[in-house]
Amino acid sequence: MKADFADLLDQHMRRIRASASAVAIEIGMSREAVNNWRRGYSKPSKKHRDKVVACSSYLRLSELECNDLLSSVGFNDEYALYESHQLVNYSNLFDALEKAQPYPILLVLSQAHIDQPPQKEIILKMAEAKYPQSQVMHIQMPFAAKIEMASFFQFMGSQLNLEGVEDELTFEFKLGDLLKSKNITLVITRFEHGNQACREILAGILRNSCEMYTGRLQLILCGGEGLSSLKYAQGNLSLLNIAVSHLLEFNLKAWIKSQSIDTVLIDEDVPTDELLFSMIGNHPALASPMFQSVQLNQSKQELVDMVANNDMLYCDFNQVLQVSNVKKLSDLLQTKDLGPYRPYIQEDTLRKLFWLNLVRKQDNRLVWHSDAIRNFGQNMINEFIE
Amino acid sequence: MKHDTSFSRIVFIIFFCIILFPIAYQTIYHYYSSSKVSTKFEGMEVFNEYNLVKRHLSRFVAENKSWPSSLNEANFLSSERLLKFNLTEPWALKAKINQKALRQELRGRQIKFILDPKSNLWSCDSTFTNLPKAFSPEHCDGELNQIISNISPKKWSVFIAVMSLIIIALLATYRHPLLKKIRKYNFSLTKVSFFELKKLNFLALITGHRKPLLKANNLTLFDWQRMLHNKRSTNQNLIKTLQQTLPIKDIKTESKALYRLSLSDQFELNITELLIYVINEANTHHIINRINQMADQPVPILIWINHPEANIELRSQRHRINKPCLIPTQQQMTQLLMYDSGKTTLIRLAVSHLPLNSVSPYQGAGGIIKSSHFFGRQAILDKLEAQFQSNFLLVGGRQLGKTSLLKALFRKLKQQPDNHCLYISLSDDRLLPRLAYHSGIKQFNHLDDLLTQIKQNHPGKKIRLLIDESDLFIQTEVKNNFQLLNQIRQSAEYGQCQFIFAGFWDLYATAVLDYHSPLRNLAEPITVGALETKPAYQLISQPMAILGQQFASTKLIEDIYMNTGGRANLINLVCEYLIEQLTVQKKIIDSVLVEQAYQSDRVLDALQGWSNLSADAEACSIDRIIVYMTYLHQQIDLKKINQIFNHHHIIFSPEQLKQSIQRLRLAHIIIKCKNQYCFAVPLFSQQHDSEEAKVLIKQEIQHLKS
Repeated sequence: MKADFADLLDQHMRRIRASASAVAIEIGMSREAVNNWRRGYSKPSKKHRDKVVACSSYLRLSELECNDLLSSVGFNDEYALYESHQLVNYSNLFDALEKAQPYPILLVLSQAHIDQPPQKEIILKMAEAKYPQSQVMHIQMPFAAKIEMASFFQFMGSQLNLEGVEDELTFEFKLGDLLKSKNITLVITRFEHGNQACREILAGILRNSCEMYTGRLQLILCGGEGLSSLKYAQGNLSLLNIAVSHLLEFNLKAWIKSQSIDTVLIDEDVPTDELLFSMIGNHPALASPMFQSVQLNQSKQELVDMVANNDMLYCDFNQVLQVSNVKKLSDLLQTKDLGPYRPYIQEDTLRKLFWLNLVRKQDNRLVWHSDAIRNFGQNMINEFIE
Repeated sequence: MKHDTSFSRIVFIIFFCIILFPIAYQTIYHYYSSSKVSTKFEGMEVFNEYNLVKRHLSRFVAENKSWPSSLNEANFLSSERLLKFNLTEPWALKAKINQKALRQELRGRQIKFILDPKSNLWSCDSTFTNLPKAFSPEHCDGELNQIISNISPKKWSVFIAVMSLIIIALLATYRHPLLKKIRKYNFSLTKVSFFELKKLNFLALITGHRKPLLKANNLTLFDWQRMLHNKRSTNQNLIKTLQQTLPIKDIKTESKALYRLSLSDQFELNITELLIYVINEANTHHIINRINQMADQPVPILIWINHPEANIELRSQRHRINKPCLIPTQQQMTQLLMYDSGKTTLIRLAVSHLPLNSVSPYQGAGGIIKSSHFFGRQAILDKLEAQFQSNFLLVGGRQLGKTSLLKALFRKLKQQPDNHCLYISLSDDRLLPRLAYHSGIKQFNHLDDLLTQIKQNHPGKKIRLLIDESDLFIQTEVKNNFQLLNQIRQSAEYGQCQFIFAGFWDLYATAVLDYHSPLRNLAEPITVGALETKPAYQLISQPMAILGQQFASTKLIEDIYMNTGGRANLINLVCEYLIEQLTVQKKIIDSVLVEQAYQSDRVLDALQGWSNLSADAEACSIDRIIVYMTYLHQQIDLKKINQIFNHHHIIFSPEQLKQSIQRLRLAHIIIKCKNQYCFAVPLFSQQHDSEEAKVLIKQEIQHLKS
């Protein structure tokens, strides 16, 4: 039996003592809307699926908890549950960090649906195994956009166990003292979140520390579109100017190969991995439900319908439409080859499509994940016009 | 200079032996005579006197064909000493030993020889001759001749044998393979195994090669002896020698056999630390296990094995070691201990044993932290160093090398005892607390007080403050009506210290465009742009040569310089990519590979990040439109820029447009091409095609209008 959305939301909010207004600010909804959800007066619509995902992110839910929350509203899962298998290959992540000497600053960029909580755990474990002589530390940026500078750095200081941090300056000096005594590998997740001014100051402090204590601080910053845009579009955070980017890429065929169970053949002429790839490309979030459906002997038509009625894709295209006009998106949906891949995609619509993981990088070009996803977008636009 | 004198030495010794031989022979002969034949000497004397008369009579008989009746008739005028002669019997010479003879047994004895007139030969009449056997000649049944004749031939052959042995020994020593080897390589020790050094020392010492050997290798006797003692003495001694021959900054002892060396910034490769593991055992299996069990760390391990067989075996089993390691050959061990070859050998070892990309000195991001990786900007460096009384502003776009320049200056000044230099990177406007923190000063009232305290802490030294990332500080100063900058100016005028600020647009705009700014008179702006041509070429080619890589043509070096617009960070990134590829597959760098490097992610990545060069959003928008227009037209000027704004009914002041162009020039995005502007970095022009540029201009215009 599915849990009730209101109960789950209330339970998760209570756990971290989050107020309705804080959640509302974070996910861009009104306080009343959040309260209505919490009290069971209303449920999120299909359009607001991304708000529920943002909410679960703010409430620091695990992948499973997030999926349960979405499921309680009747939405598809956000995260594929991959047993012990890693969604993407992290093995060359630390190679990139080591090559970035003497300023080992790495931006781990991931498109939507390759989310950060599992990523953080994997990265921390790998860092601890790889750098025994360096203290591995993790900090998470505060969610609140409205936060005092001093509180922000006190929170940062407490995560690093730095005593006597009162403000940004004392944070800088205490971090400097720490770096004088030992090497640190610092993993920062959700770097793009939270207060912009605080983030800029933090970036400046970290850059200073890298310059002043060269080789003592290794930085791994995890994020997505926002982090990429901080590096490429804004360019005023010099910390990010000298950072090396590493885009995590999901590979469907490799993932299917890594599964412990044998794949059921549903079309005698086409191998299942080829068939799934033709339907969803390398979309990470669609991979798991589609694969599970294959294992349940669902027909090819049923799989096609799964993609055509997927509410996550609906939500994603809806987000694209919020920053783009219909014509622009329609033009892109008509095109198979969307142009060259660049670390920063200047064109707004294309950039949004990429970061929402509707298009992917293939041989340094941008292409749609699959024709099925492209058709989904086209149908949605047709409905929108009607 | 010809060091090899051994051949002439051999010739000389042989010649000397030939001269010496007769003298030595004589000496031995006389020694033998005087010792062994001393007892027979008087007998020999008797016979000498007798033989003298015999020879005289032989001559007389040969001339006169008759036998004389007396010695007088035979005209023999010498007085008789030991013998009394009697010629009465024809053809017979009788003699009787008189009383003058010292030996009793000889006195009164008689000798008789008979001459055959036909053959003129003498024969002993043993029936008449009654000398004791020891004093009687061999042909008179005596032993006297036998003893004398036995000495010479025997000793002669022994002597020849001894002489031959000496010559063979000399030849064997002088023509020893080890000496031959060092002679072949002009006395250089680089080809000599570490384990042969002691033998070489002995050979060199006895053959007189030691002096030229030391001279050819720039070694003092002390160095040489220290090298020799490394094999048998403690590990500490070896480490001390390596400290002299390798660019080592610091040594930490991790265990009895393991040492951590910090390499100085003069070392050309990207290795800052090196572990040295000194092994005295011969069992390679144990050695490998022990190394594999060591904690994982990225620091390469130099494995020094004091056992020749184990050295060879371990090198052949290097693949079994799971750590980055360097195992020198026996010759390389010697080279590592020498001043002239220590560093180059370590470089060669690292390049051949470690992945190229892990030791590559190319650094595409951040300030260059090693002197050996820093190229060019010499004129600026000299100026900053020499003009202590002046202050400077280093102005330039991101990633153009301002931080590298400041750090290079910092390294240089740090080595000078009359300077106290502080490098401070600012993340916001608060200069003084950072200055105090990095100076170790806890309390101060104002800038003047702080500088006074710094001066007191470093009496007699020139205080130099290098302030990086100063744009935010300048922004705040502008807002605060230059409160602190005025104080800085005052301090600078009193000559308290030198200020060097580095930054970009805010610094430049305040110093150059604002007439009232105290920065105008405080400091001289220096633009940091592209690298000079020669250093740029050196940056491309020198590290490549150190890494043992070759370009298919020198035109490729020029091509890289041209396409990167001489930007040091782009050159570094292109070369970094090349090295990455060469690590995977060894080949000569050709145009295809260089082209791939231009399209690599990291190069493309570095070409981004220009779209917000100012804190002013509108100014950034103008910048972007100018850049997109350059994509569209390749070359632009103010007229074309104005046209597009007019076309869209957007009005900007000429000052805004001028500033935008100046900002893009400072950031090294565009440069002046005759009367127009074009991209400073040709690679930049490949980012977007004209169609994309049109779309982007449209978006920017819409954005500006909204």
